[in-house]
Amino acid sequence: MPFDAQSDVDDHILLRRFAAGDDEAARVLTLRLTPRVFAHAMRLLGDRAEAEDVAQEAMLRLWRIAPDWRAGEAKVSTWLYRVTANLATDRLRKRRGVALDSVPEPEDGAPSAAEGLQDAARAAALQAALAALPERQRQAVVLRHIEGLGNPEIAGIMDISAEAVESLIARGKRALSAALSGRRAELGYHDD
Amino acid sequence: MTDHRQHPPETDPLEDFFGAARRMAPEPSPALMARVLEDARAVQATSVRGRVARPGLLAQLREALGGWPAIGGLATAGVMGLAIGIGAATGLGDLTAALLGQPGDAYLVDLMPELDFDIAMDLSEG
Repeated sequence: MPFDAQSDVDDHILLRRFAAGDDEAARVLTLRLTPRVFAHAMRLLGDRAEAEDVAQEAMLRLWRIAPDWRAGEAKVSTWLYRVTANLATDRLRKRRGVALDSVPEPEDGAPSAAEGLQDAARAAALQAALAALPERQRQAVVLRHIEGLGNPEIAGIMDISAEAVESLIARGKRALSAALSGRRAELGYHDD
Repeated sequence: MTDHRQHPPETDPLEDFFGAARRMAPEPSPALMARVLEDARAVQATSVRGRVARPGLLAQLREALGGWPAIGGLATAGVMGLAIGIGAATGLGDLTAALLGQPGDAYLVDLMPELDFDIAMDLSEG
């Protein structure tokens, strides 16, 4: 079966096919979900090796739960964000006290174009500023403004109310604005 | 899964940074993708093998009774029991007729033979 044949199929249907032994479903789910899980882990952890470990573990948990997955209870992506965040939080607790300077810069996508370099610099600055936020604020801001989720889904992932999500995001963004305002010039902003 | 329409760039001073982060999304290495797919297939193989290896309820009952030979013995015993039950009803009718005679024969049965002695004594004594 060609890749396209299942590329438009919902995650939970693919997961059911996976549980029934469908190898193509395993491949499509891996290609579709692993990049999202890894990117989210990377934004929460800021470390590629740890993010890869977390992504692999989150996906492994998905494979294992597949036979018992009940469609309609939760979106596969919501469940994965929650598992990824929990695994990342465990990692962060083990390395408390890490200095902001030690957070690795993003390694991906070293572009040759000036615009790409500016994007890379801004993304790196944001990553460093995110790393300085409390975990819950960081998670809420990333889910809302980078992953693009709505408050109800974020509330479900973080197991808090939508109002609490809004509060975390507001506080997180205030801190990000303060941290990034001093770097506007070096990041290509020219105040007139 | 992704909806970036909620916050137009012009209303959010941080949107340039968020936009850059989205465009510079970290990509998983091919090695990670291979490991994840390898895990998937390993879990799948274990799960499917588990389903094949796990016997059903009837199979578990069959094994508890001692397998197919025992099932065959039980079936034979059941059929024999049924045959004996059906045959015994007819046989019992024949036996009853042999012992008690044909229906319609009359029999005199003295239920209290000692009463004859008491009556004879009463008569002789006047």
